[in-house]
Amino acid sequence: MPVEVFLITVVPAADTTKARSVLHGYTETRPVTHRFTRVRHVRRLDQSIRGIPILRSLQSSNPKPDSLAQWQDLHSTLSRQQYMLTERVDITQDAEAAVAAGQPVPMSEQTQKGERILRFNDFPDPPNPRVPQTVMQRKQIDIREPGPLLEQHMADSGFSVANEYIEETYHWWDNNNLEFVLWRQYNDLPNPTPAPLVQAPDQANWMVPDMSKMEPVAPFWMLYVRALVDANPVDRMAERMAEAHGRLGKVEKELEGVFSFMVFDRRALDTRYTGEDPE
Amino acid sequence: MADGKDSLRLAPDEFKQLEVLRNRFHQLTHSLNSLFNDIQRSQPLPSQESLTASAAILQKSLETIQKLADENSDLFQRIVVHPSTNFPGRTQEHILLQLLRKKLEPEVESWVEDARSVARASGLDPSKLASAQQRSNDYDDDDDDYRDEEEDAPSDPFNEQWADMFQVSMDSIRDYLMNQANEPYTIAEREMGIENVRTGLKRSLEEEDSEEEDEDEDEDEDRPLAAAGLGNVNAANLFHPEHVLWLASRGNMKVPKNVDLEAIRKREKPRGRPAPAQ
Repeated sequence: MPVEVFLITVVPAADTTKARSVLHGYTETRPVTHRFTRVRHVRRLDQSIRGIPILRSLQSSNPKPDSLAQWQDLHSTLSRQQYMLTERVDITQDAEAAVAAGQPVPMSEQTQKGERILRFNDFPDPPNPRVPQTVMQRKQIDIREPGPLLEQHMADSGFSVANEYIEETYHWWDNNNLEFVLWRQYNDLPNPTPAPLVQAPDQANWMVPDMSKMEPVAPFWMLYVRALVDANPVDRMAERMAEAHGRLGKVEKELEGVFSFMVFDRRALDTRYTGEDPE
Repeated sequence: MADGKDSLRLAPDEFKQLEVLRNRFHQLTHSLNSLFNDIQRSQPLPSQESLTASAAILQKSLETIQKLADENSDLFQRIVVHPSTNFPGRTQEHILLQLLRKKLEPEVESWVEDARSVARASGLDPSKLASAQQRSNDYDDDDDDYRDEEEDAPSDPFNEQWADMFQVSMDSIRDYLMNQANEPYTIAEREMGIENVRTGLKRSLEEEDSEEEDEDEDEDEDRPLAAAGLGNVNAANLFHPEHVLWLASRGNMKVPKNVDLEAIRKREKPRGRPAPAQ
């Protein structure tokens, strides 16, 4: 299972332009990628369902899905512990259409049927004297499938939507395979009740809000610097992890004085689910 | 041009001063070229230390030149450049005109005017500036006289401004120490109501003097957010970075109480063995 290794810090909203300029210059990325993503948190209310019940049907399907290995990893993980997962869909084009129209627009058919990502983020590893304090790491699984298919698989596995928000991100990449993400959230959506996981045939498409009229959750952005360490081959994983730590350490040192990467309590990123939804 | 100090009718020490000035200008030109090349080579810019060092070197060079000009102002005012009789004026007229030119080139003249405008906009008195005492574009001599002829003031034309700035800064420091440092709440916090401010303390800051240990905790709690530029985070809504991370992880903002909300924790030194008791 791949491991995400990352640094985090906070960028006040007033400093966003400066931060973006610095990241432009530092990564020499042209042009910057600006995205809006709808993020839905899904969980299983029925805690007796373990693993991925549809795994056997996926394994016996012909042709086998490209994401079978990821489904198998997820099955192993969810057999031991329940987690909150996220379903992510890129709504950038629809968001731009909503801004141009000056009002919410229904999600386009292209987006509706386009690729979705089911993401599992594990509870981050505990602090380790061999890992720099500002570096966090956690296992991560991304399953990519067309929207309707993924939603059906999740529904068949007992998942339902807990809540949803919109994420706005800027992305830069550097030659060291590091991704820099400036990120903030909007959770005050026009419809406070999340749409069901699987869209009914007579149900209208999800409404993409006019982002120019939305207020972000917080007066600051978060900056991630992340590397994804491949799990294969397993015998050299420690070496690859140490190398990723080194790359992030180099970034932290080179950006010293510009960004001050923070040490957070890993419990703030706890995705383990015990069956209780907050009111 | 002149082919020796004798034809210049300069005393040996006077010629030496001229040579020293020429060397100083050469050093300044070299330093400027070095900085220019450094900026061109570095992507995006040279390091802050490098830029600071270069600025210090340039300032030092300018100070040296200014001091030299002050000390030899009579000499440099008196010296007039002229071609010697054997200078090939007809074939090298262009070079001759460049060497004899007293007025600044148009581009340089506009730079000087821009700098003066900036100085005036900042409230600096142009009459205190080096070249402005001429009050015209005519220069009698090649040399600049940085001394105020009427008052015979010190060489730094900004002495008065430096004194004003020093006084203002001392007044500000005194005001901060006497008044502001003792204030437990900011103006914005008082306006929104101190009862809404989350200090993390059970007791009121207004009622009793804080113990030093609690003050440190308070600073440690507040300074990390302020250091991150979040001094104005809405305390009433309790927005911390942990809330945002929790939203990304769980989809809601209800961070459990066991999650440490200090955004920046003191970096702990690796725990070693305790020192042996003595």
